[in-house]
Amino acid sequence: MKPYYYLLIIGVLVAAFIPPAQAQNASINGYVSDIQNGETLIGANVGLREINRGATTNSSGYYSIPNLPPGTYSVVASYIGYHIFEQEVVLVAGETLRLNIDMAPETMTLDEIVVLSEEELREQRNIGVAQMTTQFIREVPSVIEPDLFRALQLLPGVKAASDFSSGLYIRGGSPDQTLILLDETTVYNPSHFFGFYSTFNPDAVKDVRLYKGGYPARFGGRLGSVLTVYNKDGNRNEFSGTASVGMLASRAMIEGPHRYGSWMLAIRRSTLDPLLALLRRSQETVPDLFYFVDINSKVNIDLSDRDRISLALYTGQDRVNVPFAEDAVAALDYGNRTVSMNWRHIYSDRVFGTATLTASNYRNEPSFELGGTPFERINAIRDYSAKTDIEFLINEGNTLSAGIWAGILGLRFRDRFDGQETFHSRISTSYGALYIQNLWKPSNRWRIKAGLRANHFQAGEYLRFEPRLSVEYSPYSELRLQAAYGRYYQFLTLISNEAFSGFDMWLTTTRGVPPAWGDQWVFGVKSIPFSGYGLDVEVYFRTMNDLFELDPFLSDASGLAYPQLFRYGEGFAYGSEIFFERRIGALKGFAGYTFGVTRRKFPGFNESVLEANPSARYYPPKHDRTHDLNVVLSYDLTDRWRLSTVFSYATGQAYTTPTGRTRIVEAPWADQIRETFVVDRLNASRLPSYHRLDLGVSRTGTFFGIAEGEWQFQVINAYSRKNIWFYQYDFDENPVERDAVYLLPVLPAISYTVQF
Amino acid sequence: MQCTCFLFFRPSLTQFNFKRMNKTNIRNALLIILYITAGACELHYTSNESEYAVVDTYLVTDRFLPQIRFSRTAALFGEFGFDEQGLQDAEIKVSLLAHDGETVEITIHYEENRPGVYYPSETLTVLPEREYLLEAEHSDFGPIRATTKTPARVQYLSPPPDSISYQSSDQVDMIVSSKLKPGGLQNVYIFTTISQDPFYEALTPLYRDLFDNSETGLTLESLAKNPSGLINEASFERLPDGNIRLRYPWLGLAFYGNNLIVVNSLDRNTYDFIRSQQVQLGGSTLSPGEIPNAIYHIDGAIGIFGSLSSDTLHTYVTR
Repeated sequence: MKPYYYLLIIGVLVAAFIPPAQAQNASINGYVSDIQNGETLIGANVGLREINRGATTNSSGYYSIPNLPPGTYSVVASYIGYHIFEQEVVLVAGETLRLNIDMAPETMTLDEIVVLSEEELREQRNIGVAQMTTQFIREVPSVIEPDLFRALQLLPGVKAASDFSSGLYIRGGSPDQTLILLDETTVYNPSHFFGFYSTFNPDAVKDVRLYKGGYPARFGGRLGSVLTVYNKDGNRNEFSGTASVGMLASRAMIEGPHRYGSWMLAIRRSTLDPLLALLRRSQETVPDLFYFVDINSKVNIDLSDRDRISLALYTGQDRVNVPFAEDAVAALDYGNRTVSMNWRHIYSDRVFGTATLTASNYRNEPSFELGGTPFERINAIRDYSAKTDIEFLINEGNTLSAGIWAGILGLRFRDRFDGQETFHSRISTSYGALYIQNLWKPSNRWRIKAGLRANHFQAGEYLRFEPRLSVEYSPYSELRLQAAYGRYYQFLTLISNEAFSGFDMWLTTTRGVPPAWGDQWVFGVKSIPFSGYGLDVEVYFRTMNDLFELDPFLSDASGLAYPQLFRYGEGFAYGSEIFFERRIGALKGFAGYTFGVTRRKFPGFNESVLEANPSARYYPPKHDRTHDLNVVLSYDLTDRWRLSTVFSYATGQAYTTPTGRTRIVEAPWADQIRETFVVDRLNASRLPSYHRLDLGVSRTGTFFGIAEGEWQFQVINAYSRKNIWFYQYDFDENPVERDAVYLLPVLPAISYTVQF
Repeated sequence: MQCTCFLFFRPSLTQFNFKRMNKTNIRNALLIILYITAGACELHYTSNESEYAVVDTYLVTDRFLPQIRFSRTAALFGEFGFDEQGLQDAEIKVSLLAHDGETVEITIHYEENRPGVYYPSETLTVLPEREYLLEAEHSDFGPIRATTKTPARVQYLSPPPDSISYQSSDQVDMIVSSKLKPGGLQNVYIFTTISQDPFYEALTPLYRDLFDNSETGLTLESLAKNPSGLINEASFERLPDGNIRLRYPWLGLAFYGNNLIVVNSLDRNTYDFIRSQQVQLGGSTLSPGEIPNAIYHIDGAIGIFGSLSSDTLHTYVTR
């Protein structure tokens, strides 16, 4: 990193310790919550109208505005989808006023929504950050079931590998380059149905925030992005719930208050069992067992006016058992479990802290038995950690944050073939991270956030430092210019296949396997060109060094030293994203366009065939898509009927067209023809462009007069576009024939949801 | 790959005067960025078609030098026939190198038997743990050269049971000689079961089901010679004397009755070619449609100039 970056970062950090120019004489703080259910609101804005001072609620829904002159103020709070809150308060010298704010959800008063929209556009669009409401996740047309990851894939810069994959490919990064946190706990394989869906139940989710790039020092451990998901705390006022019946899965969520706080329980399970039982009567290879289930629960306890604790649990499991031939059966059992206990404490009007204990367990146990020969694999991760974060509002211009995250990570990978162990790796390592960060606001026009994160990974004894810096300049209220830089290290790698995530395995860096690292530069322009609209542009460039991935040519890991399992390479990505949004009126929605380029290079891979001393060349991975456009619209036809649509267009994905072929037949051990391709450049061809139109109609009403009900009808791929996933070759034909394997056909879906 | 978008973007950003910006300026700036990002970048990354010479032969220790198939690659969607692809009038020779890896001890010239198929002009038994050099010339291609280091001799050291009962608790238990390669590299094996009674009625249940439901032209002849995948030596139990013990998996048996079980120890060329070639057809961690080149270890051509050593035992499998 250039020395002036360091100087700027150090300067901002030092600014935090410069004492305030004048004495502080009053302050105001508290939580912002939904008045109906008591859920805390993350990222809500609270301000004092008279002096143009304000704050944004943190991930606990807490705000604090210190150092206020005594006087009478109008406290104004705003949040997307809620009425503006306004209350007059009188502050006297030395007073710390606790003002918990309860905000009422919107009632479709358009003028108010316009105001809210402008506030939010101005205050909440930090560089690289995208926020998504659970209402949007539930309403946007999606393949059979509402899904968080598929909704995120509509955002610019976020791509899907295919219709069958919910994996997040963000700004040229692979899915393992995104840290996924559920209630502050790492989730290692957030998928169901082998990658078709994500594990997050939209009924249980409260807040979704995606840091696409240039993320702050508070997070670390991944090269690219961070996705934070917070489950609902539970209704603090009354017992309520929802139940939904769909074609693939059904969901139920209940929540309510208890004497000291609130609780929430959500369950989702696939409901294909009756259909499979029916199919089994006529088909032998229908799975004996095929289901997924997930359970989310949370309990919140208010210990005192200053202390809140919460306990969140998640468990998810996929199981399948397929007798796919006589004397042949395949079984797969994988899932995640997470537990987190969070304690939020208000030390003073200036200091807020959280402490969290987390446990995350991922296991993946595929097995086969073919002709009396068993094969079993175990891949398991246990991750226990403790972390604490402190926010210190030093003065009106500086907010200092610091934190520690330390834990123990255990990875186990074992193969058994025919009853005999053929590979066993067990890595147990401790890890730790320490960060400090200051948000410096020298004036209303400037916001400078600088931070430094130190990571230690015991396996290999790696100590790495990650500087982070973001600068924002707002020449006037409708425009924000932003820039960010950060260095990032990653100590884990995911062994996966985009076609099937059921066998996902995580492996870690250790001695001889250095961590991957990269730099990110992001530049952004956020504007409000018209009232009720938003227009954002971001340009990014990022590098990826020391990437370590499982060697794709590895046929048998037995006897190999751990570093020999990998190939080591590098890559880069750059692109720009444009996001245009309309948030007012009956017609709402957004259009997101991405221009993106990503490349990889691995020695021994994509080299010239006959060159004497070949060197690896950069190539586009399959998820590289030059142009990507998503248009999402919803139209409130009446109070009860709503239409929604999603149109997606993307450059065809990269694939390899062999330039020739031959047959190798002389192997003495088999009468086999080895059809062999000759390749000039890897992934130098493009599939036909991808485009798809999804339509949805919903109608709200009542459920026998006792609850609210909603029908949802959706058609995925409405005009039946035959998008191609990949080509396969039929060597039984001469000349060889190329057959296209298609993505999703036209697919109708219906669901009914009751909310009580 | 060429991209000019950042070259365009940088000056445009620096030319902004933020203090004078108004809404019209913002819109214009955003339009410029839109234009730049959507239209100014051209990415050139394409493949070029080429024709390559192809070598196809494996030396087997303690056997005579084998025939060599020498051909040219076909167009991807062209009709493939070896008679048409075979390269005629080539000069091919195989030499046994001395232990210094350079001095030639014996050279055997090859003669064309039919288009693209060349036989050694005289017999020469392939020795274990020796290096052989292939040299070929053809008017359409540059000089071709490859070497292979033959593996150590591999032997079954324990007699197999005369007969075994399929999927009983007593599997075929074999001890195979093992000698580490130079540099401590482990041996890599392929096991092949050769049925001497390849009748439909003799198919074991799994293979009968696969045969009955095959949509890819699975034949009894192809099942009669049933190879395993690549198996590293470390997959087996290493005995104190350095040899290895293995239990032959039931999966290897496609037929009841008389079966030969062949152990093949592979050289590096064969190992690299097989493990990389099989990835071309899928089944790896690569994305569908991402096809890498195989690893050839041949200068001036593609294909395989490999070697192996093998040993065979017989057993009878009862139902």
